Amino acid sequence: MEHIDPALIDWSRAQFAITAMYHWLFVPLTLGLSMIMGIMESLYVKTGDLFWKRTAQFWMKLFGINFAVGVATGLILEFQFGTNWSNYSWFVGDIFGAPLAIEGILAFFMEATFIAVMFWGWNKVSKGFHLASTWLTGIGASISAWWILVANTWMQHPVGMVFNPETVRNEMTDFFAVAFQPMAVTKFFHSVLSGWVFAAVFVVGVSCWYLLRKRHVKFALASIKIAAIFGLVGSLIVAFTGDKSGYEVAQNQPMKLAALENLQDGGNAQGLELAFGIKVPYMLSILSTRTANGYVPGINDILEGGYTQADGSIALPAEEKMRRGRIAVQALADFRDAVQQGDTPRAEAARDTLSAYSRYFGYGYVENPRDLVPSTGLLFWSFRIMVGLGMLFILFFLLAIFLGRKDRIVQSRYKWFYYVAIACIPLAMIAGQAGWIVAEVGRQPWAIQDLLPVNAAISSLQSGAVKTTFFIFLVLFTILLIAEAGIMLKAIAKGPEETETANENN
Amino acid sequence: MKTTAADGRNAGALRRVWYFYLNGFRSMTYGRTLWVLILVKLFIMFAILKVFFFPDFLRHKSLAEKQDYVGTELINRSVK
Repeated sequence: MEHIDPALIDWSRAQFAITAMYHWLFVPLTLGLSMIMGIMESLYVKTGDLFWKRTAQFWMKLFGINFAVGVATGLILEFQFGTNWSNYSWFVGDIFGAPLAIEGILAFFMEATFIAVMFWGWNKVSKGFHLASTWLTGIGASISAWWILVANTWMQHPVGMVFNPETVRNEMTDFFAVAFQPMAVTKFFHSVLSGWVFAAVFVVGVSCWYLLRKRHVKFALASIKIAAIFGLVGSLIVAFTGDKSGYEVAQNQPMKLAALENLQDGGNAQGLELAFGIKVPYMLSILSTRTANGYVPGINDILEGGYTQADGSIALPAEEKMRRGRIAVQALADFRDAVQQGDTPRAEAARDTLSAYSRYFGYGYVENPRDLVPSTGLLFWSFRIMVGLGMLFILFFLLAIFLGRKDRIVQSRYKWFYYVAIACIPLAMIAGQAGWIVAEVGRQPWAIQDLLPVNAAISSLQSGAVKTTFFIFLVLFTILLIAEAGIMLKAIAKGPEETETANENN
Repeated sequence: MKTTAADGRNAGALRRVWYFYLNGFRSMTYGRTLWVLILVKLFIMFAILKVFFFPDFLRHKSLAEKQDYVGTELINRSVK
């Protein structure tokens, strides 16, 4: 077995993680603000009231700042695929390439076209066309997100492909299975609508800052009323899809679920631990199996196997999966050797063996069963932070709706809510980051679930080189973040225009 | 020659699109800072990071060499 420096894996993962986490600071605000702007501009077109136009224009300005700083940061992830994760990039073949190519084309054409009309088209195109451009900017961003999340879901649950030992790549056999598998649909709504929640929290928070300063009161009130309803709808759908996602993880990635719960030994009628040992009886079984008495395997159960899975089959022990994985990798070696020797019957036999064991291919790189267990402490708390903050935001939006009715929120006795709303902005960022930690750390050690662990996916680089670029990114991202925060705060401090200003919205 | 928005109104469709973008960029006030930021960021990403720090690991290999390289890597890294 070729030795891979563990530091190389750690720095490569850290570099990818910091890039993805930074990217996800901007994306959710783009996804959510675009919808809120669309609602406000729709009100302008419907009522003809210039107040709504100015309101939409202000949030467009903040959208533009966020978009400008965040745009193209995702491309750095693609650089890393080619440099740090070259085995992975080759192995996934067109499965990953096709969705990303569609995403790139859509992002470029839809967003470049309609965002320009949205910012520069006021008074130059008809109201209806401008409104359509605003909505299409948001819809285009969401469709882009779809393809990224399709690619991500495939890594969590690879479907619709076959491994070709000649090219050493996975080849897509069913585009619709890849693009529309239930996990991808769930992930799309869960992730994109979490962006709605973040944007709604942002709008309520910024508006409350104006109320605190007694500035732009009418604007702030109107923004809060819209964002609170929008955020509540988003939060409830995020909660619903979160539950669905939990069920799907239980079916397809049981180790991730066990690690999230730090469930060492499972069983029937499992309770869900809220925190500090406080449990909701039966809840984990209901979440995982939709029955109160359902069996939920723990980490040790999954490693030892022998329990009945949801599809009625008996779970294999990790050791057996590792043995099968080694057979699969050996079959790949035999195939290549047979092809080189021109021995067609042996090549076909090896191909058949590989085909039979290919679903365990990645286990051929696992030395110790315990290597299959992701970081339980990080996952346990990230999951609780994500869910806890999600629940908090539902209450937050309900309260904002209540206080928004009859304009109660402007009363001085509700001033405390302004501080809560402002504090919720960073909390919403944290919730989104915690969500990605749950999704991605929970997948470890797999780059592609069961097919390719990170120690096989990584390029043979010097860990020092990856460490250097990690710190370059850290500095670069921090500078960009400071720049965005500075420009954004300046724009917020300036506030919305009190009178119509034609094209001064960019 | 200086162009104005009016030039665009009398032009053909493609020219109107061109003037739409041109006048859009020219009318920007606040957005200019953002465009500077975007251009600096893209320069750092593509002219520095991509060229000096993130070359494609398999770039200099032919298709057959890539297949052979990754296949050999995947076999050699497995647990024997």
